[in-house]
Amino acid sequence: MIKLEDGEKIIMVARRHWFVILPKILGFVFGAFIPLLLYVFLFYGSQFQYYFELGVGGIERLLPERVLLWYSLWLLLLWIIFFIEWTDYYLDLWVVTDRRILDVEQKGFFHREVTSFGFRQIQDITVETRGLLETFFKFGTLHIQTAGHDRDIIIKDAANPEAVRSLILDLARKYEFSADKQP
Amino acid sequence: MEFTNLPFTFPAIEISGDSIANLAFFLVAFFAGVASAILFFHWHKYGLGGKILKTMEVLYFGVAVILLCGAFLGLN
Repeated sequence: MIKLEDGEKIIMVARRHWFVILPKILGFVFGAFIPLLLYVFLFYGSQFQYYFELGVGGIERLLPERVLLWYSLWLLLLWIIFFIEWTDYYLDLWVVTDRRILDVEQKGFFHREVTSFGFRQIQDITVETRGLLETFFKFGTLHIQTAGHDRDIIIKDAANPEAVRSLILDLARKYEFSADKQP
Repeated sequence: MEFTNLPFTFPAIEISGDSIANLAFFLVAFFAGVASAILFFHWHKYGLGGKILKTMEVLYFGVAVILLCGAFLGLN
């Protein structure tokens, strides 16, 4: 749970680009269909088309009850593993408020690190977009250099890094301006 | 001394295909239950809400129930 200060507002929540999780989705799809296709072609081979043409009844004859059990259990395990990976992706985030940036790193289920950086600590923000895929899908690495911390904020594979950079710089400028105005 | 007649015999342990299937089903169902509880806990505590999370919750739960029902039908 992220605790905000009194009157603090969340401006943006940044996550890694969806492209990062695409290999895992493809792995899940392959893992789901390969055993089924192997089973059908190994055990039924050339008769496959005949069963397929029979429709639902044919598919029921292709997949006897025991196969349904093992295949359902295999899919269930894959489904859970995929969601564990997705949760790790989804809960790894950066929260930009009107006062600071919160870097939330989810490292597995029972290890979570939350680091907070005030706008005053930000010295520079650089954006790095490498290669064809990052350019085409508009994602890249944001490197926020900070003062007073032993590490900088590195937002890897952030979606629309240029827009995030502009927003943070804009917020930092506004924050500085309002802080200077206070007596 | 003859060893042809031992004083006791080990009870025969019979493992059939049915018992392996039952065991596998209950182990996977148990794992699914524990993993789902941990996932839901994390989504609700750290997920910050939102449409995507709600959709994924419904999708996860719906498909998991269908698969569990499929496995149960295959068991009987």
